[in-house]
Amino acid sequence: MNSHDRHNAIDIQGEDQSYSLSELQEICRLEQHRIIELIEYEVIVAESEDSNRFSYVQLNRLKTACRLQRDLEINTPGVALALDLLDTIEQLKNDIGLLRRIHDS
Amino acid sequence: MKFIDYYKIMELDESAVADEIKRSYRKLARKYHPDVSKEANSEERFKEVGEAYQVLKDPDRRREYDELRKYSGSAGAEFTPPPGWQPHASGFDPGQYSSADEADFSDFFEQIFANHSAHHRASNQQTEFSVRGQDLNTHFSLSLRDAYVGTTVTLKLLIPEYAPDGSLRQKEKSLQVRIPSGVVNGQKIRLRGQGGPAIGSANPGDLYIEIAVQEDEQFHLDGKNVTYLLPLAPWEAALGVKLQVPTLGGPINLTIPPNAKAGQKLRLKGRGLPGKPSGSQFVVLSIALPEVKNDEQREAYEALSRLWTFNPREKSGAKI
Repeated sequence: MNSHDRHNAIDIQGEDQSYSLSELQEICRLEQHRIIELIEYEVIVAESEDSNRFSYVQLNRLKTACRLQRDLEINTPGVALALDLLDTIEQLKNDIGLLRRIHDS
Repeated sequence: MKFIDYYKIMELDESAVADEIKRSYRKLARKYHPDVSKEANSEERFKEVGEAYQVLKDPDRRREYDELRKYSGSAGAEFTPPPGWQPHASGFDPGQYSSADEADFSDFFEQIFANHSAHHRASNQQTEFSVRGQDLNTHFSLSLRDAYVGTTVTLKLLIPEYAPDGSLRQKEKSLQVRIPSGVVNGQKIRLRGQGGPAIGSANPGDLYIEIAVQEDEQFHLDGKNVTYLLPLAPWEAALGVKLQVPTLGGPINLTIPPNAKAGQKLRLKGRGLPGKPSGSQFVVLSIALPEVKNDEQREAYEALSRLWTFNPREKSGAKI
């Protein structure tokens, strides 16, 4: 039987949200020393130098880092490299898409 | 329920030894990992590979599976456990997997190995045992126009639920979701309590909907910014022109200054996707050259060439 629910409990995870170190720990179920290691390798970066808060984008990077470490058995420097390369690929794909439009127009 | 050939999924022969199984898993996990691979079915393939590895890497589970494989035949064939068959390996140990993985495994896996699931155990225990329901993830793709104005959609999803016998089964659920204006690619919407069921008195999990904004014919999307390509005639670029250009929020008047160049980028602040801050629309100029079709037009080009000592190849080294 199908249930058809109209509900109000929607959260939009967006650019105006930020998370403390302990919130990151709780969401990603990671021990603090693991997150600190990932910060040291700049896998995730705080919103500012004197802040210990992290944006939604950084939370997503942390989640991706955790999945890569768990599923592919990559160490922390490897995860940092993989994420940088994935970012570069994404940016290049976007640039290619735009250039292709310019070329075809 | 279909029989699943884990050896075929892992691209292995049934005589494969532990090292070969591990190597194959590592290779396929890298190939299909959803964070790395952009193949359409990568997520599905990654789950299959993960499930196959959980079975084949464990000698007891593998022995049990091999027995069933002999009995059941080929992949895709209908599978019913042999009469009187009882699993004798250690069963499913939820401690070996993250909770997110448990519901991802196939009915076939559940039937063979998961009969000692966490829920089953919990229901047999004297003391109360509570586990929060798992978070579920799904995708939804919408047009750029809908991302700009927001929309309400009905999603039909298969949500796991516990049957009275403690086994996990899938139930179709229909959810109406309001997608607010300004969502961007990769953004997630969380629906609290709409994920997997809890065990005991804990809360159910959440449902995360990852948004994908489709390519648009007019606008190229990059985060909250959009780019619009505007072709100009050579005289429009040289002399400047007033034009009406489309934006996501409707057409606006735009003045192109004289001596505009191909590739020049004009920024219309706040004309991208809404948000805090909202994105911009970039108008990228290109210059389209009209074809010469008659003598009068040819003379006009010749007149231009006499009026300018213009060398577009000054820096490239090419010469006439």
